[in-house]
Amino acid sequence: MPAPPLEVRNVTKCFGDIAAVRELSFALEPGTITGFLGPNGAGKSTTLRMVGGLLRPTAGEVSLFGVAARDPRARTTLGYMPADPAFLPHLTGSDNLELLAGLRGGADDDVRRRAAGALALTDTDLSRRVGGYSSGMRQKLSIVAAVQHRPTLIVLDEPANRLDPIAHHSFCELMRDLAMAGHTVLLSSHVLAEVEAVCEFVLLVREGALLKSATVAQLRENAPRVVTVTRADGTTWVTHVAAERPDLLRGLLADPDVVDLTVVPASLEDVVLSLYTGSSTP
Amino acid sequence: MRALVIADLRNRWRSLAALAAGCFILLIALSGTYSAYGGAAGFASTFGAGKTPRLFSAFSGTSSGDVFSPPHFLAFGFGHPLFLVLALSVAITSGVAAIAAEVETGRSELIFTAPVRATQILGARVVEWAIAQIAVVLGALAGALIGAQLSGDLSQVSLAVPVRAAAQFCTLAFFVAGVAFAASAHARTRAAAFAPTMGVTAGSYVVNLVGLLWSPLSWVRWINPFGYYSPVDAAEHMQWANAAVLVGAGLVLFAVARLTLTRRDLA
Repeated sequence: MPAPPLEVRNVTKCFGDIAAVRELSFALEPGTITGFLGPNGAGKSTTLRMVGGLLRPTAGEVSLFGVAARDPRARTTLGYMPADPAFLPHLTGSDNLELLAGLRGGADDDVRRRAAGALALTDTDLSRRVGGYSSGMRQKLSIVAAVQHRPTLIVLDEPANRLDPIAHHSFCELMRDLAMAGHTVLLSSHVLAEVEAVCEFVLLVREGALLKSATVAQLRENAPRVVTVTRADGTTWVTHVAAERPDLLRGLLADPDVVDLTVVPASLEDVVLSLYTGSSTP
Repeated sequence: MRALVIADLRNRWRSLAALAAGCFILLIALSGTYSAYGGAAGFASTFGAGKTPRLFSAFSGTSSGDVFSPPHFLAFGFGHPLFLVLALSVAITSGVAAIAAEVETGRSELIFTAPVRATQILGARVVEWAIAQIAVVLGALAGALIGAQLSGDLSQVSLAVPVRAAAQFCTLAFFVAGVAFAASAHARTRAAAFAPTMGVTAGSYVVNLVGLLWSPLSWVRWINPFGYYSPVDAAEHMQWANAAVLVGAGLVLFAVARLTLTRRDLA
């Protein structure tokens, strides 16, 4: 059986006495997009940095296609985008891309052109010095840098940060295209709408440990429905009804005082909020 | 790796050009000073023939010898405190920037996630420093050679004198770069790498100066790098033993930098 694009096995990472990641385990399916979610300080960036070979796990193992992430050979398949990309400011966008591609065995011009085009990075933009870029343009450039060498595994740390809505939409399209072409994508994000739009799987972490791993559809399916009830006297109230309790909905429908009933499936945001705040169990 | 070296040099070319120009002008100015003072005869009439005040000798990095003789004075330019500040700043800033600055700015996340060994990146940075250092030393050498030609007494000095002094300086720069790279390989911020490097460099200079000025402490010269660097002595012949000590210690420091880098986190 071929090794998964990314496998994190019982990984713990400590900084002094603080455990940023605790016995974390997961594996990615090839050709999928997986969202990596969690509140600030949950250990997402630390985990992604271990995937990028930047940090050494205190315990456990991170492997890319079966090769340890610290081994440079593992990173021939990797496209990595940091949360705060820091380019060489005196070089143009193109020169920065060339430099980074050169370290990764060269760029695929077609992929670079398509990615830059999708994110509306024009040749004029790329011929300017990065020092004069807006933060959004730097973000776009780092997305292009992460995919330009046609990596099999793409790891993106909060890619939606600083993107305008149009660029964000294009980014989602680009990720879907890459997954369709067989690339595996792992992206951490706080923008749940983005995760819902592009991701098939989600990994939820809290305090460095895995809280839940499921498909987006499974999470939403098992989550409580949002029910808005309007009574004859005009009062309206909103409640949550567990997926496994359709009898409660039937009871509301049978109530003669209820004149209107709206049932909306839970969004990923509802699910995530309920998981992290513990307001109800999805 | 070549692209990385070129990008780094492009990033720093203005400051390197300024440093090379500074060294060039300084060495020309020193030759001009020699002529303006009346050359060897002028110094002899002021201080007495062959008598150099101890402070002057100490500043030139030697405890013996007449620093006002033409060959010694020409070599002294490579031991002048201002030259040391200008030329060693290349080794210090290159070393500090090599790793610590990358981690501090977050650029390490773009560079060290490439399928190359961290030590290859370190190697590229050492090459970049070597090119920059040679450029600045050549600037100084050009200044010394041109300045000598413009000065009556100094024009008689063999061209080999400043070349030997410059070569001897390169061994000191190698050692200081070793300190800077080792500190950078360990540190997470530029300040954390800069502080120990400057501490070692400036502290050693002062200790050496004290050793040269005060006989009971003359032994301290042999426990610091400046004790193994005397351009005035190199005017006579290359100080191979001293060069070997500095290069050997520098190699150990580069090895420490390499080992530290392979064992550390890069974000």
